[in-house]
Amino acid sequence: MSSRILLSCRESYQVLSDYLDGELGAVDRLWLRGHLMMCGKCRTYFEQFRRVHQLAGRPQPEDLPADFEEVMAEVLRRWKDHDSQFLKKPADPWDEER
Amino acid sequence: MSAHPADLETARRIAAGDEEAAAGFFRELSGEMFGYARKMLGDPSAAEDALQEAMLGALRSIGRYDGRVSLRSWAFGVLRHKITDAHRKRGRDFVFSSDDPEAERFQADGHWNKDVTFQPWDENAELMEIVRRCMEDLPHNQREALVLRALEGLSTREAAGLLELSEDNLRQVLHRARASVRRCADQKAGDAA
Repeated sequence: MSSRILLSCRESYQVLSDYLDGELGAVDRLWLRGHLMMCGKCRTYFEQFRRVHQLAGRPQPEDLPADFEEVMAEVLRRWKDHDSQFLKKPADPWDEER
Repeated sequence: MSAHPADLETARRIAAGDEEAAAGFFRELSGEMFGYARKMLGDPSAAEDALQEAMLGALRSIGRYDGRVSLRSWAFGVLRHKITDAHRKRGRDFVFSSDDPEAERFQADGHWNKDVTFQPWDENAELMEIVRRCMEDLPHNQREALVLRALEGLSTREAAGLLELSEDNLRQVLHRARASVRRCADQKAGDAA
């Protein structure tokens, strides 16, 4: 980031995501907060960006399909079938002769 | 030594055929996994198919889990591949973007253009729904980054690993994704007012 104490709007905009993800260093955080105190446009922009950060992609365990337990039972059955086929595979006759 | 010894133990039990361990693991994760698949594929039935294939794929390959990443992150990686397969089967194109949505709105000296204004959003607006709709319009890579980064317990490093991006690239994609959603939401919130 810039070595100036006063950030431009563009520089402030560029670090908003890192700031909200907690990945901005202490000095840069101070510069950003200083800029937001002085710039009304950036302050409004930041508030909106923060709302998006809170809402976008937020995991909301969706309602699982009503038949999820059956789906999982079917998955487990296919898994077990696959394993048992593998385990019960006839031994290679050549193995015994070696 | 593994960074995730408890996960390695769970994986070992599942690999040994412990159905209860497998069911417990998927019951805990399946809500978020289904949510991720739905956000990426749109259609609930396609999401259910992808989840089912991912669970089966994870069970069949869990013996190769080595504990370098969390088991949760590993399982999401398996699901991500199934979602990619589903996209391809449906003949969908992947749209990627690295454009900065606000790049043109700054003057040479770094200030916002004079004609750019921002009005505070109406707190009563259905922002959650607006943001959800705006996310649907995002390029694939940006939507995926937003959804995966928001998963609880997934670090930037793990999310970057899952997305096969450097951490710097992921941070840039995330920033542009959020900026695009903000701009879209600003327009929709204004339309609704």
